[in-house]
Amino acid sequence: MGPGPLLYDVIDDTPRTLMKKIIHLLPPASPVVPGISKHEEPEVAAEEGEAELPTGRPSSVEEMELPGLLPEERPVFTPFTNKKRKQLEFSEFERAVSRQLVQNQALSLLDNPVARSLSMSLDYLVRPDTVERRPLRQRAENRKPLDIKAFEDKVEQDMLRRKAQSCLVDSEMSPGSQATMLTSVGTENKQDHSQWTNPVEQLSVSEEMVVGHVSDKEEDVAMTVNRVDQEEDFREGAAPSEEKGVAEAGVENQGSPEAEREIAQGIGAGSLSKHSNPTFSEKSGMEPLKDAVEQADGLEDQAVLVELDSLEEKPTEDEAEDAENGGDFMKTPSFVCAAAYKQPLLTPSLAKPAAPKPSLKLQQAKPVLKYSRKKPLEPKMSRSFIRVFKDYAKMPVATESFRIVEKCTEKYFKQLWNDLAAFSSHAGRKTVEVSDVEVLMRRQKLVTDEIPLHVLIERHLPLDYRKLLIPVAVSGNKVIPEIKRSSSHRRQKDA
Amino acid sequence: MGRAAPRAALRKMLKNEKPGFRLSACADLLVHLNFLLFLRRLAEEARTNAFQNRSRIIKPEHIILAAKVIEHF
Repeated sequence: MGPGPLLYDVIDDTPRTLMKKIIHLLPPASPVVPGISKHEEPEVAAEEGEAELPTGRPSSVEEMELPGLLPEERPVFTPFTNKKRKQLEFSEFERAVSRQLVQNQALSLLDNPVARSLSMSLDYLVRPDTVERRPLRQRAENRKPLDIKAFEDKVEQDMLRRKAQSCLVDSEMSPGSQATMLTSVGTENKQDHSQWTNPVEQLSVSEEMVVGHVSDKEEDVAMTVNRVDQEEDFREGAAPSEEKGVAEAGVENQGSPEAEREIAQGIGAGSLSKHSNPTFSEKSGMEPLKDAVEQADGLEDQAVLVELDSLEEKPTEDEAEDAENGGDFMKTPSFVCAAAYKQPLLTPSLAKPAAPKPSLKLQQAKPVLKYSRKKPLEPKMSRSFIRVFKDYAKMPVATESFRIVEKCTEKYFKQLWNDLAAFSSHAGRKTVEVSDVEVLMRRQKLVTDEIPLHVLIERHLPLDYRKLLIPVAVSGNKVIPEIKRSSSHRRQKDA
Repeated sequence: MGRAAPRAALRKMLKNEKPGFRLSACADLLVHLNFLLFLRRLAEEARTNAFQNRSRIIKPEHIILAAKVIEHF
């Protein structure tokens, strides 16, 4: 008696009827409160005398109850909710049953750990439909590219702002720290830091000169003197334009891409500071810059590239505006045009400096990089599939067709991984297991009821792999390879 | 055809496409098996196409046709 025979004895019943039985009949079957089940039986016996199944008395009684209930009830069940019970009542009997159910429920929930555990396990039984019907869920889309790019942009902006602020506020910053700031913004530079420090020194020097006078250094300093004269008028916007001036000096000096980056940064920093000054200071700053750029012809390409790179790193609107302001000048248009058309120019230029770029570019240049990364892999695969394909075809194959085969295999693998990932995540796993691949092969009609998986393994894989995949019984009650009982089996046993 | 299945290459592929997932020990062999069977189907279908076109070599067009016929694409 009790829950055992009632719940598990029905072989002919469908899961649906089984569920309904469970929902209606669960609490009375509690072993700890026997009076209730007995109490219920005479009431039930008073009802329709149909016996659907020739099982034991209590089960037949409860099954008789079912047809009585069936026409009246609405089939959506979440068990143990009193509200629904109330909705479903029509007859006196049902009211009584519901009362008992409520009692039992209260009892089970409060006092009765056994009944509660029972109810919980039955809960599991009751919901199989929903579990089964849950559709395959794909992994969430990875939103990485945008996030990283936005993040890095923000980082760059922050650094620029910090740098501008520090330059504005602290005119006596040590060149070293400034150098570190500047170098930190330009990440890919592999040239000497000495080349950095030079413009940085200029910066500090020129800053002093705003307060003081001429410095004794080289021609760069002379340039800075010029600039300082011009820039003295614009004290407020002095610091960023000093950066620009220094950057120009840097351009003259080394013609290093770092310096030009500095120019761009200077422009950017200038944009971040007050906008009233930039036009004027830019013009004055741009003239010597023009000269400097004229001097270094080979720098222009680098300038454009670097400008693009740096702009790509800090795509602020202010930058574009400022650059457009200085659009009157001859040589600066290279910068200006680059800034103005930074959007469309960015993506093609990205393809060139693909290699040492940070992950930001990695996301954008993903097709390029991925292909290049795959290339060392793909030849390994391709050699194998060329041979395999030839063997299978048994006919001469044109060489161009192998490229098509490679494309097909790429597509095929993409789908394959998607499917396998979907299967594993449906099983709540992050590792693709043998069972997942087996399910996939079933779907592809490679494995059917006539052709089991092992046959395929034997046909196509070499012997070593066969041994790994197909469990073989060896003397001494050993099986090679070991068959591990997965957790899913255990769950079924409990239910 | 006693070639070694490129197991490391397969695992790297999965890492590229689906970073969260891993391949269990024998699953990659089965994936390789799947791949071989796919190549076989492709080759046979391409061969049929070539015969139909009465050509003695398998040309790219035959393979494209074959790829379209196989259910995945």
